[in-house]
Amino acid sequence: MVIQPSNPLTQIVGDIGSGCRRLAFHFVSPARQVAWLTPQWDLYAPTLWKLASEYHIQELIGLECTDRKQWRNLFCNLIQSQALDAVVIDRFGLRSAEGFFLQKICRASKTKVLIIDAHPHSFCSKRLHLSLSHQSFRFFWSKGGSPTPRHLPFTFFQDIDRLYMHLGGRPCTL
Amino acid sequence: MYVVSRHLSPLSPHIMKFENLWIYDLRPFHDFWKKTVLEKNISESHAAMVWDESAWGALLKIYGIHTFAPTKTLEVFAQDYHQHFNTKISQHAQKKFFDVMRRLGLNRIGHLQRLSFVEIGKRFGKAWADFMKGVFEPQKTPWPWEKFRIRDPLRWSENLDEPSASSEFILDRFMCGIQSLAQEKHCLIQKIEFSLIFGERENVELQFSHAISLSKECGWIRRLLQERLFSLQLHSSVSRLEICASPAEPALLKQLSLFDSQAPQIALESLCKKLENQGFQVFKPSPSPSYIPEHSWFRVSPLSTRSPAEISRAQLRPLIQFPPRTIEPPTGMLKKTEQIEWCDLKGQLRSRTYYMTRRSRYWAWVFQTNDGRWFEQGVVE
Repeated sequence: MVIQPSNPLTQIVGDIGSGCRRLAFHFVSPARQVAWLTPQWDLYAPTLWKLASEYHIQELIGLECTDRKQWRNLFCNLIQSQALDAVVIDRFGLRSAEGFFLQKICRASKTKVLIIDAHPHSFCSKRLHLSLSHQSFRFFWSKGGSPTPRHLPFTFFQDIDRLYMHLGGRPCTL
Repeated sequence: MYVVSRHLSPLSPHIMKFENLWIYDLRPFHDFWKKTVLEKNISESHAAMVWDESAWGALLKIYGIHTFAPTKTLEVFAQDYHQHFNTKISQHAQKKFFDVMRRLGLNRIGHLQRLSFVEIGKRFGKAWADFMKGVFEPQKTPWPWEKFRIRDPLRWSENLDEPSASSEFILDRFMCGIQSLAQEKHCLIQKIEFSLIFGERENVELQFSHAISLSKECGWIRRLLQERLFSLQLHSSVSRLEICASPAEPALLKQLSLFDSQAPQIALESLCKKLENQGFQVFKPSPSPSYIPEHSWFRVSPLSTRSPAEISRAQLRPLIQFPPRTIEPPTGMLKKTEQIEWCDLKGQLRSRTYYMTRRSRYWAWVFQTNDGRWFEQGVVE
């Protein structure tokens, strides 16, 4: 018998530009109320909120917290409030102690926690590796899921071309 | 500007109740209206009103706290502050704090400035450091604002077809009124005022130390009212009955426990408010009238009424963006995404043409300005 934790932490492993952020909502779906946490906000918020609306997320709140000492307090407030369906913890570079603390407070909560980091963490029960090629996102689970690589279409370029065609112009390549 | 008064007045819709004081936020109003409204209210109500540029400053004035005041003056304010914000500092700990100060020979409030906030924080805790920061730097320290919402009272009235002086009949009619109010709205009640009108008005007021439910506590209300009504001596028949029930203030949020198995669920709005009060930056984007990516949006509080309206070019732009940094002209294929043009403050025409280009591990978002320089501004995700 395998004892599964009641609320496993999920991690997406991928560098900057690998598509972790674009696909994050895919892995928290069908959440309705989501918080996006990052120690330094370098995301283009209008695009992020647009992506959220495409995944039918009703409320998305952004949170920036640079002070490492405040992180535990922040996680505690967010997860124990039970007001959110999912929390995305983006590039926090969590230490093991912080991860196990997170695991402990998540145990009795229904809030789904998704951690995005460049390096794999041992405290996550599910781990997904993601990379982006020209046409698609390639992902496989190294923990808690199928190790067979799967693909999801990357439609950003097609969207731009389609938008230009719609506006009467034509896509331009140098 | 903030005004502090001991009585509730219609000065501003932004009100906070702090123990037995009322704090009004008058910052949104023009100076002319501030002056007019204050003069009018002071002359009409003859109430003591104190104002200052900050809420801390106004409170310090009403408590009579200044540099040369004895530390005992501060004790009262500290007690109210810790009790109101539930900082978990017991009365014993408060007394100990001031005893220590007196033992150190710091008998005047001004003397306390010799201790730094860091020292106070280390010795007595963050709550004391925050409090002392507010006392000594009232302009710089934000006051933890908790908006007070005035709730409309529930009302019921009935004109009696046949005026009556019978207490039992009046009691029955009042209880019918209570039941109809309970069916109309389910909320907790703090105070009920029963009025008997027979040419002149006779009021019976029932005030409760705790919030009660009209539907559940019906029998108890009946007994209390019966006792009051039977002691009344009515000189003439009552022609009209009125009930005015004041709803109780909503209960404060419970403190979230770290290892509780069943933490209470709170609304998203309350969570945002709580996080803002704790100093976290909670936001959602709001569009600004600029096409330049770094200036096209700004942060607003999720509690604000502004909806996160869509920015039309959000689809064209990558998810990760940073301030533009100079790069060498890119080699390899470039894919154009958009072109923007605008006039700068000097009236010169500026333009940026954005492209995507493949780097070793990611797609970079670069742009060329009208003077031919290249910059990198984002990563496609």
